[in-house]
Amino acid sequence: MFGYVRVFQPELKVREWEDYRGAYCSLCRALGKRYGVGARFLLNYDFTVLALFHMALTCAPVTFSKGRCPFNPLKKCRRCHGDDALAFAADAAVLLSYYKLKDDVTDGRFLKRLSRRPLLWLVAPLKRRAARLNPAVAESMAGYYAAQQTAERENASPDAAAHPTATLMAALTVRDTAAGEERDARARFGYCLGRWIYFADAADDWEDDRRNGGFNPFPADENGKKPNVRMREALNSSLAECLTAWHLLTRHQFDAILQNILQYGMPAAIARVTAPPNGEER
Amino acid sequence: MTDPYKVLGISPDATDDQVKAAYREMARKYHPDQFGDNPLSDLAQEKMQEINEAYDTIVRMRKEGGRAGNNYSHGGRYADIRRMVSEGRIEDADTLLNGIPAVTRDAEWHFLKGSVLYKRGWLEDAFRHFSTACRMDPTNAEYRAAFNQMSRGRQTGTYTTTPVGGGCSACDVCNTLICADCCCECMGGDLIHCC
Repeated sequence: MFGYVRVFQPELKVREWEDYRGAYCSLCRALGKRYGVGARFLLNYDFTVLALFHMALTCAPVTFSKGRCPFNPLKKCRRCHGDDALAFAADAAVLLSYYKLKDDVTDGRFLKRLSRRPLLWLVAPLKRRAARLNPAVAESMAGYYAAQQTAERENASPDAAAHPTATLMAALTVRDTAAGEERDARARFGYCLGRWIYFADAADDWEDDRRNGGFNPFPADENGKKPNVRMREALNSSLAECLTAWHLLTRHQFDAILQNILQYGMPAAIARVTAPPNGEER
Repeated sequence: MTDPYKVLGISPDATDDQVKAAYREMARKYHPDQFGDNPLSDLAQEKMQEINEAYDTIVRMRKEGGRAGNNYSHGGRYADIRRMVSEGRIEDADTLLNGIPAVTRDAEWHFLKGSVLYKRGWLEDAFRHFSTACRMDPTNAEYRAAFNQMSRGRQTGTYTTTPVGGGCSACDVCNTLICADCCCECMGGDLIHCC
């Protein structure tokens, strides 16, 4: 589920890349401040994008200052002061990491289960703290996890299987936006982004799921092979809807970075996860 | 007789007020008094008669509950469902659609089911229903437009109304003109006299 919503660095300006890195470092700090040093290991670029999304839609300009990384004092880093969005992204990171680990422990293979269980114990107290700090997000996460389990048990269609993730992402992008403040466009953006993430993950894991008998919403094509074309179409149509909703939102800052993700980063991820195996014709 | 909604240039989902407003607008435009001795006044009179008939038909249809004596493709059978879809009452529309027996489901049913699913964000199933609607009624422009719009998104993954990237900027226009000027000068002519 992680690692698909990324920037496409070759198309990014240097100052945009520095802003992006700055938000990444600041999210790391926010995780450390709210949940202790251990939580910094839950840091990833996907939640940086969530923080940037919320900062992009706030009117108040986000400022940066210079600092140093406490883990590598020789390295200078920029700190971004969008505390509210960063704290929200940190809470979401902790909760989603907990449910991802829980999913691995429940459905993974023997070795995976064994390796993830101690991690789950370590993350559990952080999850309880996150649920105290942000009960609304914790509630949508719990609902998401239960609905995902049910959908997979019932061998749902791609749309139904993606629905829990999509609903969760819609809740994370809407957050506490009041009705009328572009709430519908945010919800649509989040919903389609959630679908996209779910399908990208399903496409990436298709061979593994096939080998291990895990659930995958995309059945094999008529030749019994990975249905790359179908998956690419599903990913493209979700991305197109995301872009439609994105153009309806009022962006105050970081527009270029988020545009880069939607325009180049996500298509690059689509190409990666639906690439035919080496030596086969496209 | 042609579809009265088409005559008034409105969608069958239009409210009664919208129908009235469209009728008044058209009547103002085509009223024979506007044309005086103009040679086109006969044509305007015919048009006016058509508009009057269309308005009367719509009012009568709506009084009768939009069912009896209605043979138009956007008419009674799915009128309620269409209204719900346009008002955003997706779940209600879906319940009504699911209540229609499978054997009587026609192209319009598939189109409306596709619209409901599209609004919900279930794009895969929506696309399937739009393509079924197009297959069952290949001549319908409404179904075709919905299908084509989704097809473009599925093929390219881009937002189709506003082009992302590409296009032609003011700089491109100037550069092209300068290049054209250089080419002309090479051949002994001149396109832009001042440079």
